[in-house]
Amino acid sequence: MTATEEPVVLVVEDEPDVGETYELWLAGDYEVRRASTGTEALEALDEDVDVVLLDRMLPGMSGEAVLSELRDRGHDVQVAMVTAVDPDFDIVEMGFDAYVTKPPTRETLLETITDLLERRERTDRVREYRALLSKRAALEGGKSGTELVESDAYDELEERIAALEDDLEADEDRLLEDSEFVGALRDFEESD
Amino acid sequence: MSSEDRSSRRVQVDNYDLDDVLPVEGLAAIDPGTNVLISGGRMLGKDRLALELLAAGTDDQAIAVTPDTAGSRLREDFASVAGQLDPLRVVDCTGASGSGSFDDTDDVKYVTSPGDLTGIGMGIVKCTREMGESVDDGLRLAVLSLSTLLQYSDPDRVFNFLHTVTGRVSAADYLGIATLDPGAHDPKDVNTLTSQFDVVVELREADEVGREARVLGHHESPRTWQPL
Repeated sequence: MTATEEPVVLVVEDEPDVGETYELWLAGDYEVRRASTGTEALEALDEDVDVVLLDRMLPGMSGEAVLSELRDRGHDVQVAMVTAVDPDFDIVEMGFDAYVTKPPTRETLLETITDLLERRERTDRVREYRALLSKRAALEGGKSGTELVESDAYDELEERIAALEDDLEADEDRLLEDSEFVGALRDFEESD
Repeated sequence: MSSEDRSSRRVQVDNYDLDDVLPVEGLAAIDPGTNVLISGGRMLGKDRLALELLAAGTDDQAIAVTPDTAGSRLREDFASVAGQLDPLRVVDCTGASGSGSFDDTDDVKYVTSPGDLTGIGMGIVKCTREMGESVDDGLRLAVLSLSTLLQYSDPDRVFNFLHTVTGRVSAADYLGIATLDPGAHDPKDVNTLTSQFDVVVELREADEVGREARVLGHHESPRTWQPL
């Protein structure tokens, strides 16, 4: 996903009316792809896809099987399961990033997608944070204290680190949510 | 996420009692949400110290993530320090199961490899879920050790893992503990990992007293070396 392009959402839904409804809701903000079976979903999935809305009850290949296949392929993608089944199951252990109860409202669907995209942005920010810390460590290892104090580049680095720290800390409460905590870990592992 | 999504509980304690585990001024107790790193070379008793810090809260729940010691064995070690087995749950990611089975038990959750950092996170979540309301009284979470995790995953992966875990500790008001042997890794990696902790307890050998400790990052404590 690049800054100028719309994020890509892959809707996997076997009922055409339902799939079409989702597409209408999402079309303003996202590039939408549709698939009606698990096999089609795996075909439609490439590096450009950011979020998959995956119906749990698909004919043929089940939502869980599709999920496990796409995780095996190592795609860096967020997957929300859409399910009519009473959600008395463990999405964390199943490996989903989020779930949406069927039928979802427009608001819920959009919110879920926004949340998932934000999670990925946080992953990028943590990476940037580490890169800056590492740069600082290299500078500190190579220069004397006086040189550092007088270095504008070092000051600027310190400011960026402090700003990122504040930013990341402000978001920390999300990690109380179990799916968010495990999802954050999974994101790092997948996109390395 | 949807409203039915499960959240873990935030702990309801004023502070974490550290007893006299660290005979350092100002360290009888520590604020909730603090992440403590125990840093020192081999044979200085880092793991033992970590277990003592886990055990110092008699009413608290405890979780230890271990890539080094089998879960049942670690629980025995804990019992010898704490005088009780009960509060400790272990996320055993050694990849070797003593009992020949990787099926989770009430006290031990198995992860197939120290390199499966997402699996470790799931193990932690399984433990906190089973604890339910009892985490209200306090939860201590230890990773023993970061040095071993670094043998199985790149430093950037371990950094990301640690950022997520320490973030959870801070958000949920747990007490976080981890151990690291700084001499075993690139100083730059040690530096970036260490910067994720609020308090660092450094250990070193000392001629007459055996070993010494100093505490960095805790305003109430002096930064000088003290016999341990």
